[in-house]
Amino acid sequence: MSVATTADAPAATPAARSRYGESGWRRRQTPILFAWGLMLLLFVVVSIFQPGFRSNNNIRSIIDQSMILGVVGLGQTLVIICRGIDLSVPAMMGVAGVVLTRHGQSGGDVLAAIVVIVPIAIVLGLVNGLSVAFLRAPAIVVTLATNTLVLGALLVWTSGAGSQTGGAPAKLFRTLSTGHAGSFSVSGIVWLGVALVAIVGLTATRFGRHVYAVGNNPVAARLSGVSVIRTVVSVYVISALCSALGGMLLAGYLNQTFPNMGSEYLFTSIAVVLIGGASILGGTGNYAGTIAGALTLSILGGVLAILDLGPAYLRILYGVLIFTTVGLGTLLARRGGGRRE
Amino acid sequence: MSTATPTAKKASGIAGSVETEQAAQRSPFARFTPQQISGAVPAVLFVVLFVVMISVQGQFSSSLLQTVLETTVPLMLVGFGQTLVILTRGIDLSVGGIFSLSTALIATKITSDGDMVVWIPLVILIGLGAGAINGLLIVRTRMQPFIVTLASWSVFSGLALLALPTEGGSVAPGLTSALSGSALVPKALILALVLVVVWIVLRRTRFGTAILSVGSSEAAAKLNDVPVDRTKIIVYALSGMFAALGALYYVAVLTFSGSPVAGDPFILQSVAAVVIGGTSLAGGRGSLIGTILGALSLSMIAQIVFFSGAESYWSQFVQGMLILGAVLLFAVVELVIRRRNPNATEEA
Repeated sequence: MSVATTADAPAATPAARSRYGESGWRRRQTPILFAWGLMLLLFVVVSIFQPGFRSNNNIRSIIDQSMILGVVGLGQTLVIICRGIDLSVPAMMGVAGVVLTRHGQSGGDVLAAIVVIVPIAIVLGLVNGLSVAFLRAPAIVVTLATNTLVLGALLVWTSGAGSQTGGAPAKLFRTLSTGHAGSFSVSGIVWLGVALVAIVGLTATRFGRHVYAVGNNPVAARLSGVSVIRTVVSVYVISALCSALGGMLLAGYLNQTFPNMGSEYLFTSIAVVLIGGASILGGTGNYAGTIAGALTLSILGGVLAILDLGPAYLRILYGVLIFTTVGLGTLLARRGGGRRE
Repeated sequence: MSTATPTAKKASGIAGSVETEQAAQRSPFARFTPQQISGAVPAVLFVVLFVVMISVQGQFSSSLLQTVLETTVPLMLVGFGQTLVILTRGIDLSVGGIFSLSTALIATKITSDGDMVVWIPLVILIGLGAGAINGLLIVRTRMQPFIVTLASWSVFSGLALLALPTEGGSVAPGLTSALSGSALVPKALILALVLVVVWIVLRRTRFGTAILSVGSSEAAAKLNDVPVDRTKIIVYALSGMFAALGALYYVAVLTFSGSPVAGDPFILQSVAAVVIGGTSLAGGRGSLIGTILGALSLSMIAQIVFFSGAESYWSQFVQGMLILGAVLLFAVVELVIRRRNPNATEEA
């Protein structure tokens, strides 16, 4: 217990007060508020020109689209706060989706599928986390390698089938990702639950404080009694579990599965975290920002669909969006006397 | 690389210096320098895979050599640029976008021999310019290379989709005949050797030492009047140029058409080739020759899988194992270096 108090009480020293004090808090929240402001502005502007955009149906479809990204982005948020990166997201999503439909076809037993998927996710997270934390291997290459490896194994297992595994997944995940209860979307309710757990977990638990401590300064965290290895490994395991859940939800959303179904999320899961105001250098960021990032990407997709502009413009806009949000965040941090470059 | 000196012992207050010294002596790597290990691993791997490939195929022929080399040249070229960037402790994810954009431009603009005079230099210049934009943004805004090149990858691949919405186009036959086939030896072999020579010369120039010193310690490089910012901009510009050159070869010799997503696999593969080749992601240490061997190893795996009659998706699995094995091995080597020399600043 004494271990936790040392780690939890940096605000007690005067030097730390400036960083954790009110002005520091405000500076760290600015990028997150900016992300929400941008998202709402975008939504309001589009709604003015296209009144149908704020219809209940459209809002529901925006939430349906962004929820999966939000779930996957939760894991990526934790990993990035801990100074890492998880590029094995697509492989885990593919495994989860394909296993879900395979089991769904033979009896529709969701539980049987989950019993297979969860251990795979835990092993993947352990391999990623232990390699990064224990062997200090660069996260970007480790997770790129496990992504290639797991995706390769999945292709071998499905005999390289592109769409042969195209059976519909269990109804449960169809409902979770696209259903609605009254005028509320089920995905929105699910996401709200996930978000509450994530935000409380990150801000009000010992684990959450350890995540930020490790991200801020691993050496200082270790010296004040935080188990850096355990924190980093947990973060990668959680990320793999989030990707697994995201893969199952995507299976429900698309109503079909194939090994490469998660490939888009390699980029977008990182993009939403960055747009949400987290620094790739670790130690800052919040799940609330990631939610705004995920909603922003879906709204942008919707806007381009209205304007009848293809995926080319979407990619260009994504890039510009990352440049502006991260650039602005960097600028704000520097103006506020931030220690980050 | 001296083992724990008195000062080193004093500095390693946390870990306990006796333990450190013992660990260094116990280690199987203790007798080798990290340079020797990171040089030997890709070489041994290359030889082993080469022997396996020959034995699986049953015989050695110059056409096999040519196939392997030709399929690897684009990755070698992209990997050249990536090596330079990683040596400065950066990373370039935008090579995928620049590569795609270049194939799109080549397949739509260089369709007859007359177009070559204008458009080949133009494509190379566009690659160079795109890379220079990355470098400028990284130097001026102080954003992380990962973020800048991730965002610009998105922008460049969007531009590629605008230039060529779906796979297609064609390439001037003159370009194909200029680059493919073999005169006396396969032209791809000559290209690979040219790359090696360029690297050996480059390493001895002032620019070469600047790259290594920026990667080892930016602060120390600045103190020694190394033009850090200029070096970085040039390195990213060269990376963009090599991506464009890789695309030129790819379209002319391998696909004969362009694709707006052709470059995407090259992002991860180029980083993989660099890592297998023994270049450290921590910057300052590595070799292009390792990258070339790493690139050749990756494509020999595909050949081995092909000749052994297994389905092609096995190669992705084996490549993943190889990359993971390599990165973990080098991580252990780095750990051993750090134990031997605890004075080296810990990555904080």
